[in-house]
Amino acid sequence: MGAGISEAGRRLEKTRVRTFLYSMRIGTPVERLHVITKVVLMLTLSTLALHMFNIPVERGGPDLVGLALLLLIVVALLGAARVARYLVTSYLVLALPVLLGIFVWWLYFNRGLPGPRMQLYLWPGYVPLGLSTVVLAAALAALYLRARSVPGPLAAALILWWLSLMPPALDESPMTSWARIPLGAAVAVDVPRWALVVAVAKVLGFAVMIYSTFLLLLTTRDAEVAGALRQLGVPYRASFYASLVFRNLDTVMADYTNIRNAQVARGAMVARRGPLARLADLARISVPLVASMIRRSVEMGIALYARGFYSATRITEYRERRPFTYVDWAVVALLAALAVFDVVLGYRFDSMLRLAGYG
Amino acid sequence: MPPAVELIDLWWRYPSYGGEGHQYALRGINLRVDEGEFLAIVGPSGAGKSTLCYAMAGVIPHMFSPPYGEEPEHFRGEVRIEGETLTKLEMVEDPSGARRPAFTGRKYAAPTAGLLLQDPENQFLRMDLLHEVAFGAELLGLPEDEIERRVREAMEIVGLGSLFPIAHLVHPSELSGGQKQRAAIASFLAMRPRILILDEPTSDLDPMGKLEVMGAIDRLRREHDLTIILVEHNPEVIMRHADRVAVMDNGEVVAVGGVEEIYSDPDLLRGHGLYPSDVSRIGQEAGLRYGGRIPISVEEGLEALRRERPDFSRVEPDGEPARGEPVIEVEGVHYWYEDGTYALRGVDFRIHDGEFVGLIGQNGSGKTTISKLIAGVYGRFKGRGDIRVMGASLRDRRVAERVPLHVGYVFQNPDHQIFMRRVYDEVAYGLRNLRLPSGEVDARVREALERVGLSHKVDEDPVFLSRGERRRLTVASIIAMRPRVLIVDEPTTGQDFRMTEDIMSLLSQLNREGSTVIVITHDMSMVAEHLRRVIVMHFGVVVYDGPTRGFFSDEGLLRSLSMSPPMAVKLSHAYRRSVDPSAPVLISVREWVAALKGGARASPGRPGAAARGPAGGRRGYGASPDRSGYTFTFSPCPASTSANSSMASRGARSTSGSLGALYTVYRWTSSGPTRERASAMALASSIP
Repeated sequence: MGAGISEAGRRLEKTRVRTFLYSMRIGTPVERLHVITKVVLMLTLSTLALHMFNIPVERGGPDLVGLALLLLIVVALLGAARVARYLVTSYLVLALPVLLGIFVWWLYFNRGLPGPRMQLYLWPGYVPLGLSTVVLAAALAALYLRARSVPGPLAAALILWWLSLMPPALDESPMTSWARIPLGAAVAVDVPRWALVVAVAKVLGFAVMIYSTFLLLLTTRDAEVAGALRQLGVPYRASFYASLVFRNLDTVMADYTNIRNAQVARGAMVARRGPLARLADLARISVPLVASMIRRSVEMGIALYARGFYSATRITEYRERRPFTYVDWAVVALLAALAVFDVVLGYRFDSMLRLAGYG
Repeated sequence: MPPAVELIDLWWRYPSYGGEGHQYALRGINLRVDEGEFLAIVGPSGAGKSTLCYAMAGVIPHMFSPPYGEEPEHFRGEVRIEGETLTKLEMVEDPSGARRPAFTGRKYAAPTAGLLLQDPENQFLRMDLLHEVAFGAELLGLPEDEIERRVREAMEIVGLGSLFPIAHLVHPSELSGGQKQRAAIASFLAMRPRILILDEPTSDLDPMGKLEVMGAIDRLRREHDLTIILVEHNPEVIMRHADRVAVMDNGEVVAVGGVEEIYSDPDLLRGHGLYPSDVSRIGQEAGLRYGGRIPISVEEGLEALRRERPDFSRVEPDGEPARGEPVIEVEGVHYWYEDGTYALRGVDFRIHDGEFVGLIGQNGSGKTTISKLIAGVYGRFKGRGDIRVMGASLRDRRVAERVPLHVGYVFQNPDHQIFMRRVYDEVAYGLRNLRLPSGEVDARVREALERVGLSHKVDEDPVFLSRGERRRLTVASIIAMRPRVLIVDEPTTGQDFRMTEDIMSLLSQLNREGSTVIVITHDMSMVAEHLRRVIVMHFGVVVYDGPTRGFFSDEGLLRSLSMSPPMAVKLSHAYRRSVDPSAPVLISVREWVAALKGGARASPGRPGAAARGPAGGRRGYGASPDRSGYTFTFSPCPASTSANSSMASRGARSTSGSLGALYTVYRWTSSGPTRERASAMALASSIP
């Protein structure tokens, strides 16, 4: 069926097909994969990533090379489906600051040993309420009072500078210092030996989870879901209702956008308002949105009735199911092999790194 | 032969789940539709037209079941389909031996009859075109190869045959409203129905969509001999297709008759809040006769006119355009949506203070996009080019945030913009966003409600207002903010004649009082009757900007844009072609009546507004008025220029690259000639 899609697509110059998020190129290897294969791919890669960055020290710590390999697979698949550009040209780009946040968090605030345990490492000593802090607070307050806002990058830079003034509690760290970054005559940021490894591992691991989920959403058509559910043995009506949920989501999103636009047109963004007022606006959207959803569901119910959905006794499945091809089996086998190597046999991909003395 | 559909003394009342019970929506309906007949049903909003369609499809009473034991209070009478009882309420014996009322009959009209509703979004139930069309046939349990054959055939009939090879890849969002409605029709056709019930299937569609759907229905009628029951407002559509017309009001069928009989009685139609045809209005008001009655179609009107001597000098010429300062300036605007959709491809126009302008074009032409950009709905302008409101650029974030204070946007669907649970709070919402003092808020709310005639409903929940009242409430909530420019999106869609007149007189009044009004619309009659200037968009470019008369004068341009002018305009073109080529193009009923009677002076537009300068003492960004030598030198476009717009509508819709026609482009500028000819290819040079 996959080849048929691309052939027809080329013939009629339809080169892309709509997916849950945006669209993908017709005829790519990823487009030919069955939706069940893609779900298995996402779950397996995410599980492996979770396992690799949680390996404790006594078993060698996080497997950086393995994680990088998983991320490489995901990025390659995103590229092959021609969807990678959406990651940087849309709100999906927000994933990058999230990953940066994870990196900073693990590097700076969580200095525990590698493993599943997470701890919030706060400075045990003191907060430097010296002149610099007072000057910083005064500057920020003055800026806010004058402009009613503080530019994000400036605030971030000032806060980072302020954090750098806090003395790192090296004595509390379970390992010795891995790096020391001097910031001034008397100030330095110390990075404990494991913190960097853990931070990098966490970033790689969460990147695998985030981007493999994006891969699923960017390369899966909502139309495929009903057929996949049928293949998993879900009754026709149940699988149809599942696909109707996606159809409804489509219309609800359009309605939501319209309603929100109507609020903006009436000055919702004119005044700088507090978070409570914004939350109230969001709550108010529910009034017309729910009314619209009810109206749509009634009309959809009527449309179903008019087509005889409720009276149908024998339903034919017409081109609903997509066959599971040898490519799907090959991908599943590869994923199974990876899982066996990593989890069952305990094989590490970072032996080279360990040989260099970092394991 | 039994009738296709028969309603016998049908009464229906919707069940109420709290508060007072509903009134009867259908009151003793007796109606017979013969096999192969095309029956049109007309009636004002709330007349019971949709309810009648539901009853004919069995949706009523089965989808709105009355409470157990109370069935006789909600349903009486009988519905038959092809002689077989579809729904009847009878006393039956339950298992305990007691007798109780119960619905009998076949219950489901499918697959004998199909029912198509108004909103295309709610008709499309699957996630791709192929399965949408196959859905009904799947439910019949047909073999796969039979389904494939029927799907292919049904898609051919509704004009979607070329999409069959890729139908499984076509997402609903990739289809226009017209295509979605045709897909729903095809889905019924694959079930091989003998009756199609269509409840305003084109009212949510653009002109192209209306043509597509009516073309498909016409083909069904001609080639497949289906019985068709169509609820519709447009008299021209009804006159072209229907055999008989049933007029409904207040749950009753008040008149049934042939098309000529019904439409040659404008008083009957107007008495029930319905649209008579332009020609019958001209006929009635100017005393034209055709075969002993009022003419109703363009052809009949033309025949009647041959016996008349219209005096075109009585038609008041177009007045001067508004000379106020430019309040909106759009320069070379290109705009892309986040998903890569290239919506605007170099748009230029200026709107001056006090103008009443129509923004028209097919769906996807970019008219809503540019309007929302102007109103600041999309925030700071990030595209190419520039948009200035009262001299201030929307590229500045602070300007974009504050622009809703100056440009009010009334959305198409009132139900999408009413958030509050009290009429007062609804109007006050925007004012509170402006952080006005409570006294000022109160004064403005009461004034705005007074203006739209809703001051007696100040404490009502908007849910309980009628659709027309909700529409007026949305206008009140915008005008309370006292914007200098008012943009109204599709004010007349889905509204009956009375409601349309109501909303347009309100907008005209606001314009007379100083507001600049921009109306986004597909309603050509409304454009011709009320607006002096139109900006026509097509594939993200402006292809015409000038006087309304000039636009309706160019038949070729209208054809190439798949736009059908009002009957008054068609009558004028027909008159010029076959009676008097030197006659001017008349665009409204008023002008025709003035030419024929001479009593009333026709006034296309509102000359008074033209002389008004910038409104003094109002908010603004400080732009100074531009009064420098604005001259207007429009002369009607000769009919011959129309021949050069040869763009095939289907080709133009699918790919802009085929735009090769010459358009006559009018631009309203503050100096120099107003008319230029340009190649659409050049205008759309950036179209891939």
